[in-house]
Amino acid sequence: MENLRLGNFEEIVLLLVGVLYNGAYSVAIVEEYKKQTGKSINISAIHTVLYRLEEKGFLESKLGEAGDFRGGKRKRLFYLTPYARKALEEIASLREQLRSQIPAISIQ
Amino acid sequence: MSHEKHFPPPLALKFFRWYCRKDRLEELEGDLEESFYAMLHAGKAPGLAKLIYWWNVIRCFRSYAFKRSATYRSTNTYSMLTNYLKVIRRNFSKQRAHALLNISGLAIGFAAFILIAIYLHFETSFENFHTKSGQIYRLTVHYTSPSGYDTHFARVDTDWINGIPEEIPEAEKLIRFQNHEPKFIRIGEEKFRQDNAFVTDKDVFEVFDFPLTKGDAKTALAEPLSIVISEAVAEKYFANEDPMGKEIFITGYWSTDETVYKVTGVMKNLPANTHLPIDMLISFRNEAERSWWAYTYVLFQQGTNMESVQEKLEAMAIKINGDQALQGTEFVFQPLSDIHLHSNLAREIKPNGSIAYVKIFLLVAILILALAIINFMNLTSAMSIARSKEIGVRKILGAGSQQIVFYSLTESVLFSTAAAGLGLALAFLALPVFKELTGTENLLSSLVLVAVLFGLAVVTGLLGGFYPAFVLSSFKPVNIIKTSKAFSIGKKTGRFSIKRVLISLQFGISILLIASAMIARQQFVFLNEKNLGMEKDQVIALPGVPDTVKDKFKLFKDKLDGQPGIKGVSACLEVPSREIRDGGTVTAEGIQENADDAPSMDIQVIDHDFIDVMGMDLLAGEPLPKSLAYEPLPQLTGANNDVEEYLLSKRRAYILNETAMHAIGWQTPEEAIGKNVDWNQGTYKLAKGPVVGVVKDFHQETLKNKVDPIIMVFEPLWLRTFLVKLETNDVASTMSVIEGAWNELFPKYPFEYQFLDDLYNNLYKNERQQLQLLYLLSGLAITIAFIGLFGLIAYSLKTRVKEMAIRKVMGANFTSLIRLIGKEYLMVMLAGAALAIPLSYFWVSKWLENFAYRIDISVISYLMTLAGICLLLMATVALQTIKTAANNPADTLREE
Repeated sequence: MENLRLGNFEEIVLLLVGVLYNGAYSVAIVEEYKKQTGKSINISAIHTVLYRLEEKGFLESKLGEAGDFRGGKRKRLFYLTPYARKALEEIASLREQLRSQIPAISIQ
Repeated sequence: MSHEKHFPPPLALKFFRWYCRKDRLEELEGDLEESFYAMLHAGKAPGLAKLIYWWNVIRCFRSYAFKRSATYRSTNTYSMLTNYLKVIRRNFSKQRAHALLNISGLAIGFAAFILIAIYLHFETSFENFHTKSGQIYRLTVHYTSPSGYDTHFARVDTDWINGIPEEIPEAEKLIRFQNHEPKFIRIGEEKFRQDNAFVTDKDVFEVFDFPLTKGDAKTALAEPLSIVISEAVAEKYFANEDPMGKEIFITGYWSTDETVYKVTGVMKNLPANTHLPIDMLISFRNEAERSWWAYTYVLFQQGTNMESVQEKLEAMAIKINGDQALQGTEFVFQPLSDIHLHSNLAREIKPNGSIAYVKIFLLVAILILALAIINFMNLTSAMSIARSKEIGVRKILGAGSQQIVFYSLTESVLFSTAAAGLGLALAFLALPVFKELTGTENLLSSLVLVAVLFGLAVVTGLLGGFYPAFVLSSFKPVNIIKTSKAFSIGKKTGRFSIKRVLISLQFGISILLIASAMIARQQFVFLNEKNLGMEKDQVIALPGVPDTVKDKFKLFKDKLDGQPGIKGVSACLEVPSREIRDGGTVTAEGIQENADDAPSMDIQVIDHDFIDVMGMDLLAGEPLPKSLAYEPLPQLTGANNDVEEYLLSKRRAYILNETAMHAIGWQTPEEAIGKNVDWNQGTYKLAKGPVVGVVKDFHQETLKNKVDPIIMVFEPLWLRTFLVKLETNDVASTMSVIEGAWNELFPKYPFEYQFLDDLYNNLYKNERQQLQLLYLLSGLAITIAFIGLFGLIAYSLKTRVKEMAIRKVMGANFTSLIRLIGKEYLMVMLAGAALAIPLSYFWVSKWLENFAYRIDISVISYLMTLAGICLLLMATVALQTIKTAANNPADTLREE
């Protein structure tokens, strides 16, 4: 159950990084988060999680293009590591497995 | 990329760049900037966007963004520091009891220090709220005469001083506070008696900082019949109504006429740290009123040379009043801020403090702090000796002495800082009680206090850690590992080891404070219980009665005489407990006929029942004859010397006290009876009359002063105080009888009285407060000392468990073990006592010199202190020894 080292919010950020493939950096993640969940979030919270996930080995990163409105500063793009893909799959299958075992009656 | 008109706020950016680590700065700064411009594009107001940018910068103040140089975390210092903190924490939990003992001892010391600091700050802060206090001087006058009259008054009675601002160029303003007697006030139907009420000049607000909350300082006292009251008085008189423009009726002191005044200003209540408490200021009606006795203050230009002012004042006196003007008269300027601690003159507005007490308590503060610090040093070093193995291992693993010293100092600074926090909390808990005891208000800002305290804590920590640090760092690692070193203050560490010196100092300080407090207490009991030569119990005094009331005294007296519960009614000039200081020369027939070298005596005006009512002892003769009866007061205008004529024309009889009798030159009371004497003060002369009685000396004033020669005479014009002697268990109903009589005869005046014994007690209010403070502090001192002793003995025994066990196996019993341990400490205590007792003797005898009547310092006080401390010491030793010795020796010795 190694994947339990992922928190709920961490998992969502991982998924968002996956969704935004090749364009996953903090500001984009904040926007995507808002778009997908309808809730807004402070950028520093995303930073914290991104760097933590990188330390844990779920993400890898490189400096990308400067992009618009950034005063010529490059952005840090994040990518899922194979380890992260595996973890996400494990979580998903665990959930699916558990859900399939719920007797139909209890969710009616 | 885009050319925006708005940019992120530069300060926020600067701040961000300051805290953000370099390797992440580019991306993070870019992120923030992008969000900022995105907001602008989304149509947010630039101001709001900037605010959000700021918010983001603050939110980003998190660990991922912080600078951490690669070297920072990995240096040896950093990891050693973490290790030190970890070990310190573990040690604390391992020896929690002793660590807490150590910290609380220091905390008590700090608490005492804070309280004394508050007291000292209060005492030295007098008048500092007046912005011009450095330029204000009080003018006082010192009268002396060759006959021995010598009185320095806090106020001045000459009118020509009003010209000072015109005659002396350095003087800017002269402010008089006069008519100090209480005011009898009516507001509608309600009557009040108001103290701290003065008639004063309109410029008073330019000189003193009496801030007005209502009214205009420039004009408030410009008009006649204007009155400015304090907020407290405004609330008392008018409750919640607006006092401005309200009418206040004041009944004259010299006549029954009522005058109406208008409130033109309300003044903030003054803080407690002033010698000049003001509740009411009244304007002058005309220049002629600026006359007679007044507390007089002069505002000088900045940087005025007071010596040259003094010369000019003397020249002015001679210019106006001729060459004789300064004969026996000396004018003294007192700096305003010196009055509270340095002035103790006749007729002060309120009793002042004394610089001597400030010095004493400063010394006590330092002693207690020293005691606490010594304690801390001892306990800290004792605690670290128990950890010598740890130090040994550290040394073997390569720690240098510097590192050991640093380690040790870190620990003690941490401890002393904790103690400072605890001490602060203790002090604030104790503050209300302390206020009650000493009448001190905390005027220190807490910020300053906290800053000073924590500075002190660090210094204490360094000082306290210094000695153990060097003891520890000097250990030879091999020895430490090999043997378990016993901790003892005995011979092993040498006869004059620092530790022994420190412990004897602790004992010394405790003994010094306790013995001094005991002797001070004896003096205080003596003050309260000494036979005053009269009976002050169950006497009520109605001081400061106005002329109009005085006029009907006979009626009042007749009404009360013979009522149940009332033993007698009398009247006098100065209420007993208040010094008289109305001196005049007395010539006596056949022995002192020459007025030039006749002795000077205070005059006390009494009626024929006074001796009886006050329970004085007549050594010879009789009370004043009843034939000198009350008559209606003459209507004197002061014109054509009619007062002088009246005084001289009346028939007189005199009573002397013993001191007066000796001053004249009679050896026995009998010799004096029947001889003619008189009394002269300037133009006031009382006619010659026989001495009808001589009374035993009585204490009219505080026991700090010697009994003055007093001559007593009857003169209704000069009576100022009514006295009623009660003889009842039902004081309340007797009081209501007196009040009824008063209200019937003097409906315009409120009925206010004081008990004579309260008045006498009030004389020693300062002494009582100081004594309380000394009790408190010596209690704290002994607590700290014994906390220290307790901890030390415990440690000493812990390291000697095996020794005790072996001694027991060899047949030693409890008593001999106790004696063994106790002897060490007893010797050290006696060494401390040898130091403390002479010091205490010196200190206490200096203090006692303040009192003309005092106790002798008895050896018993010291013996009792020593015995008490010995007992406590032996009890501590016994308690600890029993704990150690109760173990079965087999258990203790088996361990190895």
